[in-house]
Amino acid sequence: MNRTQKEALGGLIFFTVTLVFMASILAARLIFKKDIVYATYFMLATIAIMNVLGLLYLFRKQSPREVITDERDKLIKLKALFASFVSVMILLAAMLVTLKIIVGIDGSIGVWLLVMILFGITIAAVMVYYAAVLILYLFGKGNA
Amino acid sequence: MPENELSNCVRRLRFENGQITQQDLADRVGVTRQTIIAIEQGKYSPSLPLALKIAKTFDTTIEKVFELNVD
Repeated sequence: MNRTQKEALGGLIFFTVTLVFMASILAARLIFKKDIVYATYFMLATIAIMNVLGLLYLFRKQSPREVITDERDKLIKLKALFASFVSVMILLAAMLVTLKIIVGIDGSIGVWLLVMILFGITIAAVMVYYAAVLILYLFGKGNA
Repeated sequence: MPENELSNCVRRLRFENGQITQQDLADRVGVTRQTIIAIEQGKYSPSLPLALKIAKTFDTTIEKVFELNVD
């Protein structure tokens, strides 16, 4: 595994955990009408620990002359970025359609909910990026 | 439109030139080992500078390392 693959795997795990925690807190608030304060602290602590562990793992060189990134990595990252951009467009469209169905064309939602949704979309886009990097590394043919 | 495919004999040349490992070759030409694996498997066509560096490493010409197969 080279640096790009490690980054992608680490990022995918990290953002998946973040998204699950976010969804749990949101669900608790919307469905059970409860704020889970401890879960928020736990989430922040977990993210901090994962960050430290991830950085330690990423910056460990396999050999003194190991190349960090090369031309194929750049190509794969560019394609993954495009996939991520497309996913943002799709998710934004899905969000608008869903909100129209739920609250109507002139309806309104709380600012905090909009922020949470947009933050969720951002995290999902980053996850798509990392997943695309891993997929292109595993199954990429031609010049991928 | 015809599909161009680049075949190569990097793997054979590695063994013929003192059994150079993929990591050694990668270090010499400045790429990751995964890129060398992808080139050997025909999954990735290297850029011209990289192809030239690989050929130079084996002290040969680019035509003797890479061949274009036009279908």
